[in-house]
Amino acid sequence: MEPHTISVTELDTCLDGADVVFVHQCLSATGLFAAAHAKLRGKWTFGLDHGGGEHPLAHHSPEIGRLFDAFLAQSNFGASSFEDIEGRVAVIKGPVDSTYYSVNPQVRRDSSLILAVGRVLPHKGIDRIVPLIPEDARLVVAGSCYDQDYGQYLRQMPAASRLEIREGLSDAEIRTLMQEASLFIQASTHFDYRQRYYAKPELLGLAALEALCCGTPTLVSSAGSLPELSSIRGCTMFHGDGELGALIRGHFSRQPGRPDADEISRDARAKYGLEAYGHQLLTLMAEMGAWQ
Amino acid sequence: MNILVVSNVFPPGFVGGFELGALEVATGLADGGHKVTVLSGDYFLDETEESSPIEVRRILNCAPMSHELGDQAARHIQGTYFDFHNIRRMANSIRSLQIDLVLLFNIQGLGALSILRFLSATRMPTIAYLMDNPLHGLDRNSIASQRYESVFGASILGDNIRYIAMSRNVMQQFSESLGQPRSAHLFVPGWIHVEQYGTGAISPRRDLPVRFVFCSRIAPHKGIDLVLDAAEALVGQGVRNFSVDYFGQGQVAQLIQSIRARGLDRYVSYRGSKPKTEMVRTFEDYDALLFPTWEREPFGFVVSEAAAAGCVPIMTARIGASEWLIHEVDCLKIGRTSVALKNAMHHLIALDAEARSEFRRAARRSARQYLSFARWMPVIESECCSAGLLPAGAARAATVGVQAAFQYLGSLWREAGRDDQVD
Repeated sequence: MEPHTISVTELDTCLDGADVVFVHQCLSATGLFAAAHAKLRGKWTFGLDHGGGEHPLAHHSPEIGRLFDAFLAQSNFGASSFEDIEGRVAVIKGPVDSTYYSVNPQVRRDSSLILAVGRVLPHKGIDRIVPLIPEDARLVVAGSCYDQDYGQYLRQMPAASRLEIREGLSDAEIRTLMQEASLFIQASTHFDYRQRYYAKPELLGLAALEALCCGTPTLVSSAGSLPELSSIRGCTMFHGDGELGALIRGHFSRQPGRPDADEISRDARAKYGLEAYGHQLLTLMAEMGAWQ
Repeated sequence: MNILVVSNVFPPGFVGGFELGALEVATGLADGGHKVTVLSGDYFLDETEESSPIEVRRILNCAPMSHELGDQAARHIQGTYFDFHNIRRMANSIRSLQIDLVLLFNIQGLGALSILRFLSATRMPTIAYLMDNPLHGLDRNSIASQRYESVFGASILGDNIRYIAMSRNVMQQFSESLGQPRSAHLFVPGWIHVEQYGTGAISPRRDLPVRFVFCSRIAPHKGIDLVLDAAEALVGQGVRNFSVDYFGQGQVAQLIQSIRARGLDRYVSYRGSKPKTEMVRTFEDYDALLFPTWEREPFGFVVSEAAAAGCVPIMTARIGASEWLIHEVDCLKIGRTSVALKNAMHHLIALDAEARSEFRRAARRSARQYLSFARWMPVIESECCSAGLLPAGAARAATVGVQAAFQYLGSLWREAGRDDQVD
């Protein structure tokens, strides 16, 4: 979607019904367009970036950030997206839909199931996990394959027989997988298997958060915002592939003292859940005068 | 009150009555104890170094008025629709000077439409003083207009912008250009300074030719040819007891050649150009002003100035000034044709000297009573104070975001215009 494809009349009609406008992908051409019209109509405007691209003006002219009363970053790392732009940045971590993603005692855990969720793209680092799958375990990747070369690369890896890519799953099916999984891994990387660089591989780590809300122990890489998730009980960060291998082995050796599913879910909800997010957001808005 | 005046040109350099009017109002407000800062274009620089209570910042870009050659069509579009440089400068001044009221005079060429929309979006207390239509030349059906609306949305101005207009004529022109009916909060005529005029009686001048004067830009739209046509027709009818003197700048050579070509030297003369202060006294030597200007004339200060000197205005009906005077009482209003002008001239020539003098006295009386600056300046100031009572703090803060909105939308607008043919 580009700005010239948008009917300004329809956009303005939508905006007229709002007091506060949240603009997602706020630095994209379309995001800036929506924010500009919100500002022309005197609305409070908050911007969020999910890595959906940046209009050249965003970094050419820092003043463009004045379109927003504040940027809302989902993580400390996400806040860095706004470093070069004028404007207030507030970090409110999350949110994850903790009412939808939760522990389900009716679903039995599959002790051999390792789960990864996300688009099958090189910066997701799935190739880092595949060689480390224990022989008595299997890795299910739930997500569409947007890079056929990468998909082919994964399928040719030595342990590929223990890898299954499931495309086109519904939210409910993914939630069930999260509730079944023994371990969830988010191995995103700044440098992919061809050494291509990604500045923002993760700005939050929503899939990992959803798994944590389902009470699933989770391993996250040190890329982007993922290290911040390790403050949640049951979530552990790894730096390199060696450390990832050791953590996987440790998980399957059933080391004692690990938090149970309810503890993990409760902590994720308390730190990143909808209620926690909403409370912080309203506090910020009240402080700025956008909410009474 | 902190007042920001915006005018594309601000004296000492000037083009017409609009800029001089802006100076007088700004000075009047400063004399009233208000802090007045002027933002203006830099086409005319001030080299007088005279100290003034008014700070003038010649920092705006007036696209059509440039000392450099360039793409005139592109400049016209920029000057009519959008100039981010000017938006940014204005927004910055509003914030840094803690402005309470923005007073717009002639913003034509400054990106007029966006200036109005910017102030509307910020809800900044604003008065647009319409001595002319700042959106003149904006064709709402043009490609440029459609492109503007596709990016910026429909041009609807908020009620934080109030209007002082010189006439219903100019208010209507503005509304039509904008495509949104707007009405003036106050009508103020083109004024005169009574103290600049003599106080002597107007006596009948018997057995002397009736003296007509034309004083304006020497240009077709002001009716220079209509005057020649009318004079030629009078002579053709055997009327000899009259004269016409032209004053002003413009297409002078063409005028002089035309007078010669028509064989009117004996009746019609070009007398040069005089400063305004001299001209008001010169009007006292004439029986009537000929002003067959175009019908979109927002007012025509010269009508007030001539009338106050006892020089009966003969002017195009429906121009701004015609709304303030009464036909056959203190002026003559005509259709814009040479025949109508000739008939009006003949009417005045045919009057006996005493009746003509009485007509002149009536014009002088009306102008001095109803069109004096001393009468209107307090009314203007009162309107400014009333508009400035609206809280401006939130509006000043809003300029930050709205400025950024114009910056981004402006970049899209320019991008979209790259492939447009200039229309």
